[in-house]
Amino acid sequence: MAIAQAMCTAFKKELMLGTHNFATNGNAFKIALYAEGGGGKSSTTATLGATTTAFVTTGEVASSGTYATGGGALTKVAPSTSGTTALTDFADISFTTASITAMGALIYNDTNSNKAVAVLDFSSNKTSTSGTFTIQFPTADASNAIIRIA
Amino acid sequence: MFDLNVGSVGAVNIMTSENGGLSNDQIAEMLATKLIYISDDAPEPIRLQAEAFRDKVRNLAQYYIELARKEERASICSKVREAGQIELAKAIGRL
Repeated sequence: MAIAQAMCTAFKKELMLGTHNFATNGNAFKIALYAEGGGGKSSTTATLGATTTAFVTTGEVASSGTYATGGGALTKVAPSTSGTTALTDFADISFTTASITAMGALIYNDTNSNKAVAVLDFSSNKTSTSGTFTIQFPTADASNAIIRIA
Repeated sequence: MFDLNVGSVGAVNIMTSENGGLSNDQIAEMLATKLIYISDDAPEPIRLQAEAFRDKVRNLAQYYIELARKEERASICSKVREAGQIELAKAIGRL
């Protein structure tokens, strides 16, 4: 599979190096959308997974509506803990008046050399046509939060 | 020794629309999904009860989202009409 959901391995190492700061006044994070195969607007195919180390333009969907290449800025929710699990969250993000077909996404650190955080696999192509493309992040708890360390 | 044994990424929910914004149904569904998580591993009777509750929450949310949008359109219509754009006001009112 060209896009495989994963917490990027490099990100795990970079956590230990203090590269990423998810505090609300910390680093800026972005989410970029990617196409797989012929389903996207881009002519290239994305290959994303645990080995991804940084934001790449290959396979990214084209700018449309409020989506601009490079992705949308994420609004962070301060990291917290639940039981023995540490977690962080982002506010849902929408791209409006956009014609987008995307199969997955990459969350990356816009402050620190576009270093990759996590790859999201949408399982199938999701399409908006002159409409809204919304990414709803899961409930921020120990079982579901977008980024969890147990 | 520190054992960082699990790093996990949650599943996102994608909502899309055509020729306009998200519908009341979609927004209500997003609200219910975020508010009430039901584990696939939950015992059947509890899961069914939780699903019934989530349906009620979704239906209630849908009603008030629809009401909020309707009232906002009414306010916009009023302002547009005050500005002398009668036909535009009528078009917005028909949405």
